[in-house]
Amino acid sequence: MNVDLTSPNPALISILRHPDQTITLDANFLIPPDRSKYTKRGFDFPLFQQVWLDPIFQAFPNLAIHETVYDELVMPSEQAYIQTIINDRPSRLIIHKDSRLTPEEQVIRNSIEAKIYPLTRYDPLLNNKDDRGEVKTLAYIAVKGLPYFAAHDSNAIQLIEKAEEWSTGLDNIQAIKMYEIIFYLCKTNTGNKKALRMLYKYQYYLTQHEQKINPEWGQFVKAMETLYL
Amino acid sequence: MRKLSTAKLAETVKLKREEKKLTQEQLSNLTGINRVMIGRIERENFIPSITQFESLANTLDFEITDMFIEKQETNSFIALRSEALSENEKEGVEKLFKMMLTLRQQILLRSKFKNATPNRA
Repeated sequence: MNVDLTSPNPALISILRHPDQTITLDANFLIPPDRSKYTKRGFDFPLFQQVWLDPIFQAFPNLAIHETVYDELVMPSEQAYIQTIINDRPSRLIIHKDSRLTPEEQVIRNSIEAKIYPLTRYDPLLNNKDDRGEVKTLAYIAVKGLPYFAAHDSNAIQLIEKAEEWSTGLDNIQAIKMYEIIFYLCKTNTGNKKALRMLYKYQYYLTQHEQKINPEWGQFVKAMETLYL
Repeated sequence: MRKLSTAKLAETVKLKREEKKLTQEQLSNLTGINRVMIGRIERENFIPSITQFESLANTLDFEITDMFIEKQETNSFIALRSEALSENEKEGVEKLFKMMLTLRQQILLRSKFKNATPNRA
């Protein structure tokens, strides 16, 4: 995944000012990353919880997922953690449910979905699992006018960033990337800096190619500070 | 299944806006929808959110549901998902779907990138 430091992301600027806005998450924000193809070291669930999940739920009071993303959590540890967060009173995770849409919203949702799905591996009539979470999430937040989608998936991010060019209908949505949230947690002292650095390195500075295209941690933080602080 | 007709929406917005002698800029100010987006709605190139839709319908006096049409969806893949299939066959069909859908996605993405850089070849 590419780290883009060419210009500030308006979504991150807005989130830095008002972290209480609704931010809808893709499944890859809740599942430990697995890059065992490139390194022996990895993130088991307890480490991922400590480095990432606990800090994001502490930093952002209105995180949300679509119900289909919940279905993508297959490990019992992931399900148990998210269920606890949902069961908290007040609940610390909003669940977007298609069944709660009005009939009019449902029709518009279907029309937006029809524009997105051909660019993914999902097909609504087959209702297969591949990319179902991201398609359902994006169609839901587009119809509801919820502006922020946080993801670590280049295809999902492209559907938003190339909305006009590709006519995906997602022009009102803004993507927030994992490295932007890593920077947020670091700057607001919500997470452990050493641990966040480790997560950054694992996600963006692991392979030879990534070391060519992406900045190392120190350069990354410095460039982000120039852009946002 | 009911679907939004972007053609009907485009035609209605343009017609009603012109009837009310509003420019796209004025409609933008009245609805809070970006002027560029209003232009794209009129070119069938953008589906508004429900809030934007309601704002347009209230300002231009039309019913949201009048923009919906009945459309039958068909998918030849569905026939392959027969209950009579064995577990192995079902697994094979799912693999086939995965390959077909990945191929469809790749072809479309390639055409999008090709269209974006016409002078590259």
